[in-house]
Amino acid sequence: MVTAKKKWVPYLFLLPGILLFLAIGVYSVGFSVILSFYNWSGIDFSNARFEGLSNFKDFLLGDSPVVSRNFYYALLHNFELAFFQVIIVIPVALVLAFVLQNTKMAGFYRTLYFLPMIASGIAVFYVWKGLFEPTGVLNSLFATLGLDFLVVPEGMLGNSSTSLIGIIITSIWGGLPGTLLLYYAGLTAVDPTLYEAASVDGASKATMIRKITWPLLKPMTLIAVIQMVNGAFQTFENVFIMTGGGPAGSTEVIGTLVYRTAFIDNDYGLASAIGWTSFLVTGLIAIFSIRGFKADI
Amino acid sequence: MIKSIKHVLLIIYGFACLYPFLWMFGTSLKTSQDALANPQSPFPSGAFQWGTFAEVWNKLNFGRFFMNSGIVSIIVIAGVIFIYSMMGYAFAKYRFRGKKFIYYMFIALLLVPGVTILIPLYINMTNLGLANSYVGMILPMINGAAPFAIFLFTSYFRTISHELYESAVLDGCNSFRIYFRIYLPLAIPAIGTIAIMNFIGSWNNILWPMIIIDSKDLFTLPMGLMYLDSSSFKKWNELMAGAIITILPILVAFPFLQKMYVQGMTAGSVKM
Repeated sequence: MVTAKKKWVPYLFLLPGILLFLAIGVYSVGFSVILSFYNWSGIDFSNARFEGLSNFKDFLLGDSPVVSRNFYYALLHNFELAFFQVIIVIPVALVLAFVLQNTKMAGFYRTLYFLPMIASGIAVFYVWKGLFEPTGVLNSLFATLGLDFLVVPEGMLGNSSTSLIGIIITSIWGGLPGTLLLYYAGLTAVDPTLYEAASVDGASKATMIRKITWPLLKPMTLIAVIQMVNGAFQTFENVFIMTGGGPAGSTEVIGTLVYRTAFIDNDYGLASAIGWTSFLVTGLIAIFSIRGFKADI
Repeated sequence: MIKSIKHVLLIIYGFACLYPFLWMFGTSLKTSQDALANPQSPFPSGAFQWGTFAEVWNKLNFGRFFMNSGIVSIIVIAGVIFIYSMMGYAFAKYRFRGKKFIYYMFIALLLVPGVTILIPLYINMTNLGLANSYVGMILPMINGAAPFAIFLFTSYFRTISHELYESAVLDGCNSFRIYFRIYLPLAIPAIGTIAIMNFIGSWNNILWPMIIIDSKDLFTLPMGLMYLDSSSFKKWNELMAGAIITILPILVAFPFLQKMYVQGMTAGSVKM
């Protein structure tokens, strides 16, 4: 690393990015913080009314019971999405990565597993919507297998007690491959001589996994968990396309709640306040993320 | 025995990965009655209806949507690579005042939930006269890609030997030439990873275009697909034909994407 002779040189390299950041990032973030203290329905900001903390009281303290109820349910759904995704994806991905590691056709399988990872987007959310239809694939599969108790007559997304499960399934489908391939890359990167040396020294298989494999996989697990939790709290598109937050708010997440409050109910102040509160909640997770992104600069 | 259990496991999971695409393809080849009556089957019960693709393509001007998506993706990718590779280079190669502050300020952007700043972003863009335009759609997407791109470019440039820099200085190269002629070409793997991530991200982005665009001439493919959904109620065959059109470029680029992605992921993760 060097100190430039002309002091302005490094700043020149930063300039385009900083200009964009000031014009878009800083302005928007600042304005949205201010908005959260106002009552405003859009168009002309001179119509906005300063209301202090009343937006926050509405949904946090229950001054407006309906808004408050929607908010806490949405937050709970975000937590549920994060929780179930992590506890299902991590072990399954780990097992599959171990199994994949020593198979002959690893390349072929990897190609298959890579598909959901890059193609999971709006097009695929419509497919899932179709698979979850009342007479769709999932229901007929369960019926054929004789698992009648799993059949949801309204379709999994059409019933308020199962709809969130449907959303979780699609998140797992889209999220599992990334974690699996990350673990696989980690496992194949282990120097095989390490295992040889360990077995010469008489280490058992369990010891090797504990002392050699796991220390390497630990940071990857952290990255995977952070990504999934972050993703779960930013959920929007799959819910928006597949259920729109329904039925009866059973799949409402913070993302769709903010969207609806702002762009359907035109309550920009309240929407901003909800958005920033969820930001504080994710802030805790954020601190961990920053650790992961600590570059050596 | 154990070997075959392994394969069964891997095949079951592979099938789960593949099935939605199979269903998408099969359903697009059904008649609309067939699609509605037999949604449980991924195969058409009669002849393959290839004509649906042409119908959908013409019904909603998908050619235009395709072009719009292409323009947006290409400019976003180019912008992200150009702007943030320069920043990464400065962070990796120079000592200067305020460096840590600027770096973490950008990284913190990653943590602001997109939907929170949607409202002011929309107002901001409208005030700048950029609502309902390519530029209005593109600029926030570039800015949103900043944290990860800066992080990756900074780490990548740090791994490139510093002697290269010193010998280039001795040869009389100025800072910009060193960046452009020496460091940038060496960062091809990082560029590939960033390009792919932003290609997939911008190609699938729906929330921001939905808010900033209202003229149908500027619709991107995902918006076209949503419009198709609202205009052809329960016509699963049409919707799936549209879905295939939407992800076609991703599927076509698939082998290339896979190669680059796995490379970039390994490089990025093993180092951490």
